Amino acid sequence: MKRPLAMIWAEGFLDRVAAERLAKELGLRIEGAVKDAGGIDRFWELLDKYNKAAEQCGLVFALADHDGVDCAGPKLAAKLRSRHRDLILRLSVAELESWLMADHESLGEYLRVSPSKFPEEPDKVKDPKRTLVDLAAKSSKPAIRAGMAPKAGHSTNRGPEYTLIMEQFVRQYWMPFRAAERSPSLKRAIVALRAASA
Amino acid sequence: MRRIPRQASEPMRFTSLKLKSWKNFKEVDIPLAERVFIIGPNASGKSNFLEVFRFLHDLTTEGGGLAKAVSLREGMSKLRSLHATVNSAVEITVGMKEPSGATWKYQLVFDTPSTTSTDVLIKVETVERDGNTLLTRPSRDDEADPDRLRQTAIEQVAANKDFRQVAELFRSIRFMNLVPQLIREGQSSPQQFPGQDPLGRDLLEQIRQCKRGLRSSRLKAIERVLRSVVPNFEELRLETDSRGRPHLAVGFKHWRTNAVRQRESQFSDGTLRLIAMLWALQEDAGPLLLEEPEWSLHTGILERLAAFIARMQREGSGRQVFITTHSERVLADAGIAPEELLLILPARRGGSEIQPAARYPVVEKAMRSGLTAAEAAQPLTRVETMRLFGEPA
Repeated sequence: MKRPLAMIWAEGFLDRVAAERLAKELGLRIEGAVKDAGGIDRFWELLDKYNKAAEQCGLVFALADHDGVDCAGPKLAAKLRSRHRDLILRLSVAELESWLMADHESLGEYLRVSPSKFPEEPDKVKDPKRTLVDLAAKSSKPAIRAGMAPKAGHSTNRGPEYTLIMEQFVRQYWMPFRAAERSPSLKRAIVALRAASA
Repeated sequence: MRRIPRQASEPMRFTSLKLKSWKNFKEVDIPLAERVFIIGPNASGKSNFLEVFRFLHDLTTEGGGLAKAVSLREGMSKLRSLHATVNSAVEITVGMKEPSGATWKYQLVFDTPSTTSTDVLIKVETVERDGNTLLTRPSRDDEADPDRLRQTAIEQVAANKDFRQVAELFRSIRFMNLVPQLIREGQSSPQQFPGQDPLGRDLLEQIRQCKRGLRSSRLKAIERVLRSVVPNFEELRLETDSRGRPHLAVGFKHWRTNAVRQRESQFSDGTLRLIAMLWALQEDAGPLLLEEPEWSLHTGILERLAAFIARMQREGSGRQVFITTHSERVLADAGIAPEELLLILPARRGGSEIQPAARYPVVEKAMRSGLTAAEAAQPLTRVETMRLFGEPA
């Protein structure tokens, strides 16, 4: 009998959706709250509370992007020292998007972009979100281009429907095990979740 | 992404706005995007900003006109900025763009002839198309008969022939501040202007009057959204009761029976507001003004609302949308560009000023790097930090 997850605590909206998807893929039941911090600062701010909660209520899966860690360096080191063994803290390298891009086949089909254009080692891509948006801008599907890429003259790093388009990908098409073959950091996360829930 | 969306033709929309002495804004000069979020502290003038567009609507609607639009707002003394020089005239100038690329400009300056007078007279009214002047007032006729200055050309069918598109754009502006209980009651309302009830009393009737094919495709689009955020949601339909009154019916998947049905009287306030909003976003109509749509909406909707609006604009009518909001959840979508975000902040000499977030270099750079409007811009509208904030570039 696998141990269920008590809670999920994620940095942002898409991290939360991906954490849920990972739990589902591994057959882990989620008993309590699934929540995101809406930003990296708040994620670290409240991580202590989740650490304490893990001691009381069991496995807590915490997921954030690695790129926010530099600014949180010393704080993070202190937090990791006191981490309870039931708090599974994973950081995608450098952003969640590298985990998603690692599933070339599904994402290529979903975005209508040739999988050959995707990075072979997504964990080594410096700015995965930008790489993903640039790839989506080459899509053969107008709805993908319009939704994923920023509008002309707009100073954002993604398009207006990025959230919806990527949420649907994670929920319905992303295959984490296949992605883990190209993303060592995702593989480590899966191994950690498996070990903790065994 | 199950179906290929219809690429809607982009309707005529507003591209810029200039104001002088309007309510609590002494001076405004801003560009306007297709999707506009307006944020600011309480009582800073978010509604006063939307009020400009409601004024343009009232100017051109049947039974409207300049005198009516001013009197609906309790006269010039309530319209004019308290912070303007005494008795300065009110000015509204809007830039517009047609789908064909043609650009328009409409300017209206009006005032009372004396401090005690309740008369409202036009000081300037001009219309330009692609930079060519089509109308300049006061004209010679106006000088010969000053009473003519009580009515704008844009409100008169006989006078607005050459710029009917502009009058139609103004008339098509719709304001929404839905009251779920009134949608449920569905009674005909004592409306100032028919078919334009901002409180949503005519929603069910509007849905009923829509052509069958179009209605079902719009209800299907709403279904897709509801399915992604309401657990066990199955279908949305329009039904008619034995007395011929229209009702919305929702079916839920249920473990005991195939589907459990509910009518709008049983919907939650949030569900009803969401349905009404999603319907309006698909209408082939002019600019839509949404006042704090977050009220009673579930978090699951709020965090996707900005993207839903963009999607409905792209797949549906393409109508321009103005949204005032306080919701951090709505603004946490990094797909919102600083060019789409208007910040209302207190002005140095009293009153408020409104600027696109893109004009504040720190905010623009932060958002370009991936911070959201909730992280990079909204904290500036907190009362305690506002005064410390720099001037726009």
